[in-house]
Amino acid sequence: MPNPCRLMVNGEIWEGLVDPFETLLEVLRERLDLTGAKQGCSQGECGACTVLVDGNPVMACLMLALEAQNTQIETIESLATQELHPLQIAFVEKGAVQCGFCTPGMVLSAKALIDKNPHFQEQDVRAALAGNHCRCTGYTKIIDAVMSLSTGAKHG
Amino acid sequence: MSYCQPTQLSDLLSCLAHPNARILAGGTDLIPHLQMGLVEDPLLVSLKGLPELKRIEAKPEAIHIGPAVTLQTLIDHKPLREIYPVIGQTLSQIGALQHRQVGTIGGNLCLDTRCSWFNQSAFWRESLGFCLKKGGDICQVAPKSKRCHAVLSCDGAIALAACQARLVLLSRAGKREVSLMEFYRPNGMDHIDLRPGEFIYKILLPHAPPGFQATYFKGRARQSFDFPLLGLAIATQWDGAQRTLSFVLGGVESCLLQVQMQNLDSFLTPEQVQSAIKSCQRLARPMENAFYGPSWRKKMIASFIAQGLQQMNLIQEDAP
Repeated sequence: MPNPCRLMVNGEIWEGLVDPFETLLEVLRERLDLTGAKQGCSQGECGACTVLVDGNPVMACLMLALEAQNTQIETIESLATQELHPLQIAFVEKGAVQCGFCTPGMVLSAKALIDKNPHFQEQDVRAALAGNHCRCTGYTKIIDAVMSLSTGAKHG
Repeated sequence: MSYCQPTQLSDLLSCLAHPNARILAGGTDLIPHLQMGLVEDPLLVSLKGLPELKRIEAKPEAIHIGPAVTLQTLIDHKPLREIYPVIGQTLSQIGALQHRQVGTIGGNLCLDTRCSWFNQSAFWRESLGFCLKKGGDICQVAPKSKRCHAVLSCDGAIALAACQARLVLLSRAGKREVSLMEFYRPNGMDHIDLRPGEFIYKILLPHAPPGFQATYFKGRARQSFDFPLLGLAIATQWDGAQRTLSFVLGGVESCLLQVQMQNLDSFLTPEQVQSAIKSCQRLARPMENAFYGPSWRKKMIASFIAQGLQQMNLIQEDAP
């Protein structure tokens, strides 16, 4: 039986009826047309569906929409309004994007790290991105891109 | 499938009386199970509306941890990190950050047992005629066995057992307390001692006794994130005259396994180290039910024990 659901996504309220088993990812993609979060494995293994919930990276395929109520949800669409976010610029400049499927999740996982600790080190980046899989880049350029924004970097 | 989010403990207990009730805490184990058709038509009972289950409180007799406390909250909890560094050391090896942000300690303790014949899509399992744990009538791991051999895969339980944590279980029938060692049973289909309508209300972590130290080793295919193919916690206590040692093993059986050594001197002799390794290897009987087979897991028991005792400075060094 559908349940009423109220979500705060990218600063805007969305209200509708959702099935109990409808995931946050399905609601974002199918109801709100926010297709930046990607549907990959649907098992919580690839991280392509990563969004920020109250500033923390979460896999949207593992969270029911009903459980995401009363939180602040940020998707990749919230990052670039007028201009690209510094992380997005860094990804472009360092060549950290190939097919692009993992990129929204990578960028949001990195954003959560940077917002909490601007003095991060490479080991912090590796830990923060451990839940995001990339099958193109080999990760090196992604780590380079994120490290280029560290204010206390000891890269290498 | 239906969903409810009780906001009173009494309502939670009423919801749990439903025969198909399944607690939804972080959902990082339950939702993939639903996607794979391993759980059918449940009443999902969310813990989100019960803040009292998300508290960590230091009381005179023990630290009380609510079952809905997230793994990352426990990792970041400074007082706990100082008293029991092994808890953060262990929990930070569970999943990826995305899992630890929503996954809860209660959910980790109640994680379903895992097996390479079970954690597969319905299509995959159907092609083999299913298995004892779901839909079939034989255990694909041990066809002659009458029980399921899926393995306990919760890192948190292994470390908490080494710290002698206890669980308070609550239902409409009342409260009871069990140790973590008693909570798990050697049957992969029914491995936790939760009666109908019962749930983990609290985890009681005793204050660490003087001279206590512990460490945790996790055997897994990928360091980034994975379930334990072997989990080993080593805990020791030195009271000034005698040492006790405890080895808690997970990832090799449907329940926790423990080897204890008592009345030891301050340092262990090489013979005592070998005796500990042999006892653990004899007790653990891993089967062909995980990414790495039995021989690898047995070998790693020896390696982890040797490394652990060395790191904890418990091995007697040879005289020059």
